[in-house]
Amino acid sequence: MNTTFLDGLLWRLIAFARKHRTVTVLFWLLLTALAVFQVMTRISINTDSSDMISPDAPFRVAASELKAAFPDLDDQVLVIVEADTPDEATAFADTLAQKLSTRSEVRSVLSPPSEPFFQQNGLLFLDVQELEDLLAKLSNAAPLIERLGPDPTAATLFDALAEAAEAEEGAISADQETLDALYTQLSEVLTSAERDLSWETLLAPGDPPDGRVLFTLDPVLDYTKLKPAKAIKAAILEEVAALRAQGELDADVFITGEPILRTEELEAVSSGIGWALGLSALLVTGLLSIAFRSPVLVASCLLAITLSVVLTAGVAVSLFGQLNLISVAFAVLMVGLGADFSIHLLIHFREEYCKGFTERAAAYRVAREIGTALSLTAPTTALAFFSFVPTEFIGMNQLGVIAGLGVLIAFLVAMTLIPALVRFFGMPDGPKPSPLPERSVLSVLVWPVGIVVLALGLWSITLLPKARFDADPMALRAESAPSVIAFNKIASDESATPYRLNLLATDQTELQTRVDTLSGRETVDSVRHLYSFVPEEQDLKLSLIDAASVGLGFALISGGDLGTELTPAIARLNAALADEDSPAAKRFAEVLATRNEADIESASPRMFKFWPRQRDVLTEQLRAGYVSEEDIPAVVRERYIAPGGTLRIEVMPTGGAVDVDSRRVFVNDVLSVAPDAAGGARTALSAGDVIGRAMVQASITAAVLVGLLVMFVVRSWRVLFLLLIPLFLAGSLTTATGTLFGLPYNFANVLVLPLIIGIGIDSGIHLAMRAQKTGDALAAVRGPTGKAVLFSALTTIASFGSLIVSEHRGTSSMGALLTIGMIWVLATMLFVLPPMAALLYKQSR
Amino acid sequence: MLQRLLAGALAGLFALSFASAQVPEAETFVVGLVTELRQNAEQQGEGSPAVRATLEENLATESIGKFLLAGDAAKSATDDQRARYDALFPQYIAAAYAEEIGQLTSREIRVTRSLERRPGDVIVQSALYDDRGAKRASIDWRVRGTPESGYKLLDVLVERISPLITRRQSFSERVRNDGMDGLLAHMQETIDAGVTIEKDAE
Repeated sequence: MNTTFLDGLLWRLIAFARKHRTVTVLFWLLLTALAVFQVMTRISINTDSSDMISPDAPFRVAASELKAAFPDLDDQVLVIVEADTPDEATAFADTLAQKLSTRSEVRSVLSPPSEPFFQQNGLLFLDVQELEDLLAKLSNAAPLIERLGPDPTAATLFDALAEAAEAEEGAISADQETLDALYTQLSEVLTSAERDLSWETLLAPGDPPDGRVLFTLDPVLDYTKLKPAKAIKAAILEEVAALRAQGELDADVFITGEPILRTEELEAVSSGIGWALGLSALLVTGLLSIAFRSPVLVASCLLAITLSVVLTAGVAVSLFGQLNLISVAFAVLMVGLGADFSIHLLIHFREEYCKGFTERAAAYRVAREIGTALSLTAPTTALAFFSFVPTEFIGMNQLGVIAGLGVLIAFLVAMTLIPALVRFFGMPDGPKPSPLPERSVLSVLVWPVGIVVLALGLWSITLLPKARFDADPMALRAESAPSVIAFNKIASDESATPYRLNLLATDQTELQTRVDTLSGRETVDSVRHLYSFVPEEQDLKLSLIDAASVGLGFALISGGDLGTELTPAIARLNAALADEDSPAAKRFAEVLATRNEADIESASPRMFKFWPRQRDVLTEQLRAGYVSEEDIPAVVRERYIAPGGTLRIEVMPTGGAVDVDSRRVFVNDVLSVAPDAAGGARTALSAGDVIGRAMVQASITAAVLVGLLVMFVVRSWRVLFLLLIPLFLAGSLTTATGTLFGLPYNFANVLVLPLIIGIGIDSGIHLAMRAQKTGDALAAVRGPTGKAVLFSALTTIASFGSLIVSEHRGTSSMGALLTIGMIWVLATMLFVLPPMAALLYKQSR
Repeated sequence: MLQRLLAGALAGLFALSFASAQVPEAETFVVGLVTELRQNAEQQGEGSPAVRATLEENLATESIGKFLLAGDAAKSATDDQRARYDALFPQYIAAAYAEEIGQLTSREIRVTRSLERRPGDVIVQSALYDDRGAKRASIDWRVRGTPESGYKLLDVLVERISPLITRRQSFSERVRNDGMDGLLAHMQETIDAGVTIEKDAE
């Protein structure tokens, strides 16, 4: 194709806009008004990242089937209660759960400590050995339980301890381990006014239980609000505050779960965004002022950028209505690319005008000088974006369409609105450009720096196989967000980890078959389903409980020792402890020696704060009865059996599958026997794989299409070579830098790659064509084209680089990777392309 | 299925309030057993064949034996091991109880009351007194009554502590560590130790 054809075409466009400047400005303003109306009335955003992958992808098919059967599964809110003792955590969680169950924001609560089914049958869910150990410990503590009775005093406890320490066979038979634990706790209770005695710890076998209790609730979410979970979060916090205000119980409460995580994510993204945008606007204005040294040109450029963004938004909404988390970032692209066209046009326009040409002549000379390059950049960049359309990555192919059309819009706006505005307000005068000196810093640096960048670029290619797309939404969220802190608390807990998988079964037979295929696999910690709430070996367990309940039953209905006096009890205990050898007993004796009766009396309520509750729990547990499927409470059933009868199997990973590698091993292992497994663990991994493939596919398609277009228009292998090599190096260097510094691509920053492609193609075409036209690429870099390339990249960095300080890790990673990407675009365009051009065009330094 | 139904029925019947009336026959059984054991012990020595014979005759050995081995231990046993266990168990449990109950029956035991937990499952409560007439401990005798064989002793709780639970715990641990053969060897040792005591006494 004759390139003067494109120059002429661009000149006609510019000339038309200049001649009909009022019509041109009004035309764009009218279209912008329509776009604003369209956006205001129709825009909606789908924040579900899983919807950004083709629904035909196998993991999406599995996820859709799961969602169809259990639509509320992803909406569960998890409440984590942590206290100094398990007793307090349980009491707090129980009370909180009961209060929340009456709130209108809550549909149902699943809190084992509050659920009569678990209160009564909890022991049946222990394995036989655990149950034996527990019952043996409880059985040994029966004499103590009997003596304390329902309303114990410090005197009763001390007297009972003295009797145990006197060690007469058959007096009190709590084992030495339990006695030492009791001595230790009593020492703490007597020395710290904050400490309560934990009966749950004392009576539990093995490692002491955590002071942490979890429960889930099914919230009522208001999707008409921007933050659907705001109401439930507020309700929980309100009840927690009310409970704490009563002064009886205290605990730290953490809330997480998908609805809360999303709500807080939105808060983190929007937090400080106003300041960041304000700072960006200032920086961009400052950079454009340096580039143009004219308020009129700066304002014209900013107006062109703004109109490009708004018009593209209007087109996007008209085409799709609903945008997604990726495609909504078209604004970032449009600012970068809109500025690119305007900057190239205005810098050259000003340069020619300052040489002493009239406005019209300067505009004509611009069209002759860079018309082909400018005209070629728009379709090539658009073509690069359209390359994302055929991929499985819906999020990105929607962005591809929007950004592709947006580039064409930005080009038309820049080439018509800016000449019209310049015609209105006049091109400001400036100093006449001085001829380029023979040698400059750039000409000295370009070869050594170019060689270093090229070497780094080649090395970066070796890192490309390690690049990955992190599709885990948690990788985006602010680590300081309360819901993320809560999530991280339970992520490594095998019984609570969110990285689990789900299988569906049509009936019990199929369920059992599927469960059998999973049993014994190293990666699978446990499997939960409706029938796993029917305990195993119930006959044996019930007979064990029955045997233990004889003695414990008498102990629990006992009225306790009444009338024991504190003074003799202390004296007896002091005497008994003197003969004790254990460090815990010795320490307790020391503490006891420093306390008077009043101290002990005042500490007494803290010794027995949770005793009544512990007695009630024990009493209920000993009432365990045979559990059949019909006994499973509705709040559990609805989580494992759909109204249509479909059964859900929950597969829990060994170790929680917190890190990506172990998650991949777990997912692949389960998929090998259950290809239809669905859930958070699979979605994040499979989405990452799909997106990774999509990015490679789109990049190759873009390179081929852009190459064909450039060859069709310019018919020069050299130009194509000069365009693609630096562009590829910039992409590779950006990816490798991200890989090295722990900045993988994610849903937030993935648009950096198309942005590099867009701005890289623009800059590359400008520089390569200048090199072809003048034979001196270095001169092009040092002249207005190089200046435009530099300011185009700097403007993009200034626009979004400030996001690097955002608490939201996705937003921050976008700012960081975008800055890195633009730096590498500059490095390859300004330092690698000129030496290559020099070699290709046989120019020596 | 029958076991499950039974377990369900038992659990349903079980309650912590022992509201049933006194069971004099069970009290009589316990008093008679204590008296016989004491007499045998006084005449022939603690752990003597007579004491063990009395225990073997009056203990619900089959129920206790099944309870102590039920679960993984029973499942892992071969038919031969199971047969040896069934053969050894009555002697073993009599030898084990001979010493424990012997310590109790040498002192004065006064029955205070009896409670029927469920038909055939009775707790006879008693107290142990020392030589000075001071109460030293509560002793609960869990007896099982059947129309065919009358009452049998199932468990003896001292100060509400059931040795059945701890004995089962030790059986399970032994099977886990040493296998079923290890348990059988231990049972044989306990029986032999009783015989040794007897020979020493002679």
